[in-house]
Amino acid sequence: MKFRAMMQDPEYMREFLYIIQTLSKLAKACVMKISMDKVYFVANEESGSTAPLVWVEIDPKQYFAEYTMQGVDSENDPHIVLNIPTLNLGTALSLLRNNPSYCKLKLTNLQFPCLTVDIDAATKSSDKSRRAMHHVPVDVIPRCDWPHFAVPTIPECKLVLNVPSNRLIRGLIDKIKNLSPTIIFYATSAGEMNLVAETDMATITTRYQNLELHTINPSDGDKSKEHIEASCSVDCKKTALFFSALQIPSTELSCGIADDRLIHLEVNVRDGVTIHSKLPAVCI
Amino acid sequence: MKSTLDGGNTKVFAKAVQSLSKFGGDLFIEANIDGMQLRTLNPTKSAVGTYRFSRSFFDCYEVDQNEESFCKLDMRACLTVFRNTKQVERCDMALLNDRTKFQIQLKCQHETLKNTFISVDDEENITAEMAPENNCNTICGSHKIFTEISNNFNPAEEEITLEAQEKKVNVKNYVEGSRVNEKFMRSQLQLNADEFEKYKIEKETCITFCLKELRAFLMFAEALNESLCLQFDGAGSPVFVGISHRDEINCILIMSTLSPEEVSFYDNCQESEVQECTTSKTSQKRKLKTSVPNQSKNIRRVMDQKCIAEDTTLSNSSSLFGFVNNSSKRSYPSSVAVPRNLNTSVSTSSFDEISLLTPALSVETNRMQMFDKNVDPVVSKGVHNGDNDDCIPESPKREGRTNLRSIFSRCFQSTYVPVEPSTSGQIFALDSDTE
Repeated sequence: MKFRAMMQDPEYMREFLYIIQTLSKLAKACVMKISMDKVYFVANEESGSTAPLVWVEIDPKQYFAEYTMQGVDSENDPHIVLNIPTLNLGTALSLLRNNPSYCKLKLTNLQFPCLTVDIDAATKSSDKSRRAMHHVPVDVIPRCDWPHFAVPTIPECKLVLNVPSNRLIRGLIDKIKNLSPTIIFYATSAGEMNLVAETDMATITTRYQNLELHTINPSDGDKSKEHIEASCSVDCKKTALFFSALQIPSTELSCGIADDRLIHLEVNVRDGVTIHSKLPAVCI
Repeated sequence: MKSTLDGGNTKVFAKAVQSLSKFGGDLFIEANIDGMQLRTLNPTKSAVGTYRFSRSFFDCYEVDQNEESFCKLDMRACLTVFRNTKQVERCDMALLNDRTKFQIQLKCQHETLKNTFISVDDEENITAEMAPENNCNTICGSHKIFTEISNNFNPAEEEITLEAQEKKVNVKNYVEGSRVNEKFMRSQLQLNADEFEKYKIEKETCITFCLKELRAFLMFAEALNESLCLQFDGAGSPVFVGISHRDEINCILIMSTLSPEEVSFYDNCQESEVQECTTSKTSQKRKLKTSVPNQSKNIRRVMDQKCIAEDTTLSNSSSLFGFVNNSSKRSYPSSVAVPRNLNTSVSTSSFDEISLLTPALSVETNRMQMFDKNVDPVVSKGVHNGDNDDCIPESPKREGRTNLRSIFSRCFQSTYVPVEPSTSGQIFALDSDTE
């Protein structure tokens, strides 16, 4: 098994740090799945916790200046699946905050399997650079256990809308969290999305209008209708946690609603780098 | 002894107490002609921090000339007094005449007066008769650079190792080739000499010291916005960390250092490629049962026993390890796994006798180990390669597990009756009565 990757663009490196920090706010450990054409990070806390399922998809050819991997079973679909403690990886990457010149990731075996993070960062005070090396202990997941660590699939949603400014939504859901345990996402094909929180005393609705419609998959019964509607009620704490964990300053978020089944949130960081989350529906 | 502080200085004083409380449980206060000093010791007594406030720091300072005022107070009590000093305008401190109480009066805004008496735990004083005068190595830098160094490590990190070289310094949380836990993240940071304000290394050295105490000290340096000065000789002799602020505040932290020779080392610490255990568990079982010849079984047993011996000895002094004895020197990373292998083949006969004397235990542990490998899917992943002839336990995890099995070995014997253990120990007596 071999894995080496190098980043050189400071902006990419900072983004990478934000991604890992996002994951470390959601789960203690994440699964890193390395294949030839994709790198995935999956943060999935055990069921019962409030943390939502979040996964990150990275296209290594665009992101890493240098990328080599050699997985087991090299003939068909070679992979490396690692279990990484997110907090350790976050600490290891912390130097990326100040003006890094390169960041290398490498899978090594130093007494036990490690993901070696090698960062070189320039300093303000001197012309020479500072160098940090961390050996983050990882668990190599054997092939027989791979089925348990499959990357989640992107669900098919009835309506997908582009919602602006997730910072606004974050503040809103943070407030609603204290009022109601659930929040209803309601959207129409006319480009309107409502966030509804119902309590005994009041109903709070936040309306977003003239949103861009991303995709539409009408069900058989809806095809004749002029406006197609979709709504789903989700756990408010779970939703709030996703938004508060999100460290990336992005302006747009796509929100897919599958009627009474789930909500799929997707943040497109840049071409080839996306953060996904699935929020399951709850009964009111 | 009596003293008065104004609002601003009270905040600094409070910060000092807060920072000392991070590592010590008792606060030693001493007042003499020159000023007042706060001291604390860490629980293991490997570090002592002294914060000295000169007379000019106080608005009013009275101490009897012939009298030495000192006392030992509980840190938590002091901390509660100095936790919130936002509204304090004046602070009076006094050691009462009968020396049983230490009085702190905080005059706050809106004519509020907070009066606290802290009982003196002991009329005890500690001194650290050590001065950082003749140390050959000095590193000075702003608190920012030291904060960045400390941020490079996990918050729970206990010790760091500083490798001071002529042109650069290497800060690590491990010693090259040392035995570490499998969940331990090894980190290191390399800084250039010119990043520091003053960097003078006469003798290249490598010292290990506590990080927690340094972080507590750093917190105070940050509050004062002053630079830190590290002075040290070498491993084994103390390291001095100093902060001084306008001749009014002088702080010194003395920490004992550890030399890297005192840690146990791995035999094989060379980087290698990560391997995956690809054989399925059932085939591994068969292989272990049939193909392992008698000879290697013996070695295996011997190795198991050695593991037990290694793990049950508390000291990590090198003389206790059999394999180190034979090779007569510690195996550093450069000398690869050879010593251990060689050893076993040479001394197999002698170990056989030992294994005959206590066969039950070793067989048991042996069996348990095999059992364990077959059942537990988490253990048999990654680096382990089961089809090698020399079944030498390579990963520390398995050694640890053997230890566990040997301690709780009765739980795995066929005679063991898995009854729910009772929560109160008294039930044992009741049972024997009824029978």
